[in-house]
Amino acid sequence: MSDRMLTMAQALREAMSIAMDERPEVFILGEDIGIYGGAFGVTGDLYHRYGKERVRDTPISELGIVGAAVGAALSGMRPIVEIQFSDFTAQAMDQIVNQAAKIHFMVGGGLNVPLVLRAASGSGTGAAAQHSQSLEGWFANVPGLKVVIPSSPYEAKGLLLSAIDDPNPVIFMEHKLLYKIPGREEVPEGGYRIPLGVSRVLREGKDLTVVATGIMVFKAIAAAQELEKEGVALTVIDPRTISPLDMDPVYESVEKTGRLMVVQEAPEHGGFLNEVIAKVATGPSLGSLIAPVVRLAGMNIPIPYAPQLEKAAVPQVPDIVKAARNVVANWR
Amino acid sequence: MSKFDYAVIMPKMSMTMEEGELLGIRVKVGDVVKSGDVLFDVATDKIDMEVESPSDGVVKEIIGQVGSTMPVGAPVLMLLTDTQVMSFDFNSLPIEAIVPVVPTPGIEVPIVVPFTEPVVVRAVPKARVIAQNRGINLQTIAATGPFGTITYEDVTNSQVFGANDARKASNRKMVAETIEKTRGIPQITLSRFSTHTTASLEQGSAHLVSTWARILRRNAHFNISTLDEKAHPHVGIALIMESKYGLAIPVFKDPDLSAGTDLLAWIQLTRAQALHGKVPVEMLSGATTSIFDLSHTKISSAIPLLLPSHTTALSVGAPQAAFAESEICLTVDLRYCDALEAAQLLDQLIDAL
Repeated sequence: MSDRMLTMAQALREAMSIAMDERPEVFILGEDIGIYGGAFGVTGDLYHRYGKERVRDTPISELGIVGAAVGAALSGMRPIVEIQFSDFTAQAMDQIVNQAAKIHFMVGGGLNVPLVLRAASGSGTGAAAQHSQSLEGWFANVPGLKVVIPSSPYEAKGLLLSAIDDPNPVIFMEHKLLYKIPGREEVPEGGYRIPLGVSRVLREGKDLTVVATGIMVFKAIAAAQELEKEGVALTVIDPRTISPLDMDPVYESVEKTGRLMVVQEAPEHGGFLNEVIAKVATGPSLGSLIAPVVRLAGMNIPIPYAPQLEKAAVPQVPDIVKAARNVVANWR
Repeated sequence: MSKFDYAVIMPKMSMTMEEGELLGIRVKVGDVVKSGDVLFDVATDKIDMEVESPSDGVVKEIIGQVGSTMPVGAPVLMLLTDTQVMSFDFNSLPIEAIVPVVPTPGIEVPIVVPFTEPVVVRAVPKARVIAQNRGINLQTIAATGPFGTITYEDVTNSQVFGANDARKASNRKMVAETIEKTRGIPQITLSRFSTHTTASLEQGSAHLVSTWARILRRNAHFNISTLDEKAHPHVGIALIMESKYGLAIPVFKDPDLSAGTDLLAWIQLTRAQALHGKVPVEMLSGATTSIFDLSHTKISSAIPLLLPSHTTALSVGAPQAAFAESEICLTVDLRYCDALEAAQLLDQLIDAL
């Protein structure tokens, strides 16, 4: 295996290192990101390489961290905030939603808030209901915030560099289980960018269009590989950013397959996947549908602590395989 | 002399009819028939019917087999006709009997609206789109999907789906065979941009149809039949338009003698009828020239093809956005009109527009 098959934690660290080399105004702040190297080891040795001024350990106050970052961003810096668990963004909501997202618009575009907020999200680590949520839908519902969900190390690096370049706030939701999984493809050296708001078609198959984000992309591809043996061919599309959302590849694919499945870990009720379905229902490809749309999402419950229940509360590869097989068999 | 092929088809005698049994054929090859003569008998599960000849002619070929069941639209026999009949008679749907309710004088009759359960058809969106495009009544399709839903395959595997296809193919073949007859004729096509503007595309079509008729009436030597080289007593403009069975070519006789608004309504009505596969039977013959009107598309121009016995054919392209200019093309039969005369004719038309 090539030494460029990085994990997502390594790819994110590389992106932050490149950004700090490129721009003196980039710095990182958050809890335990310095000497400890981050709750999930993402910042790693950056404290030793860039010093405590640019990799700043903060007290345990999410409201204070984001507030300081908004102020720094307004004064010409480019802060990268790390929130240990995305659940803790609840503590910082006023700064994110009422300040960071709004300022650029409320001063008629006269000020920018070039802030990136990275947060570890999702279940699967046995961390229970207050440390396992997928809250991307909250932020996608706030105009003024861009929301990025990387699904692999390659995506993570290119998307984070674009997020840092962006002149206004970007929420960057990283699934905890992806940090340690090596990617499917090599991560190029150097500072490549993946533009925000461009979907990626990861594989093409004639039977079913699957739209998934984050770790569900990983699971959808595993399901597609299994179903390929049965002769069921899946198209897998990763929007990469859910706000802005690039729907054109989804419309084009649905026109070919006639079937759509949307997969997310967040609870189904009011979830982001409903936006994808609504756009298909109101968009140009509705008349191509030959089957009801399939939703696979987390249950409408707080994530359980018991490992078996935690696993059962969110879609897994066999769930995707079964649902895909059924919709293709029943609707022809 | 009889010149034109006309396919007499298995008619659609009721909304739900998809096929009919050919009970008997009353004519044989070579028989001379008059319009209205009974050609063959058809049976469905609802009614038996005699099918009459749509025009005078000679029976050229018998296609249908007595005793066999044939889909709606399938040709039963071929006629050679004197009149040029370019399209099928799409107008064979029976009119449902309307029974008027006569109230007894002096007694107020309460109006009772009978309550009927609305028919709910469950169908996937793509099945609906296909049904609409092909004029298929979804109520005639058997549903095999979950919840009694009509699936995509239910529609595409249905007989009606194929029947419309067969009708389209048969229509296309007929148009192609007709055009084939004029291929060897020496002809030239000229074109010129026209800046005429009208309030709507439909008005533009009406304006062109009536102006072209007027120009041909003034230049009677171009309004002749190449069969007998005699001038037609009328001007008949075949306007090529879309139909659910492919192309329909209804003929507007003496359109320049109708008032502008009447002609506009006439064209609009005919366009709607053609789209549903029905053109009034009296509009199926009598053409002396043709117009291929592309103004509703994005196509800028097409070379018009001469129809048999015509000396001229016209096409008009879509207005090009910035200047509202449309390209008008004229094809003429060089045996009856030289290239310079054709140029003068096109100039006359565009100046008149």
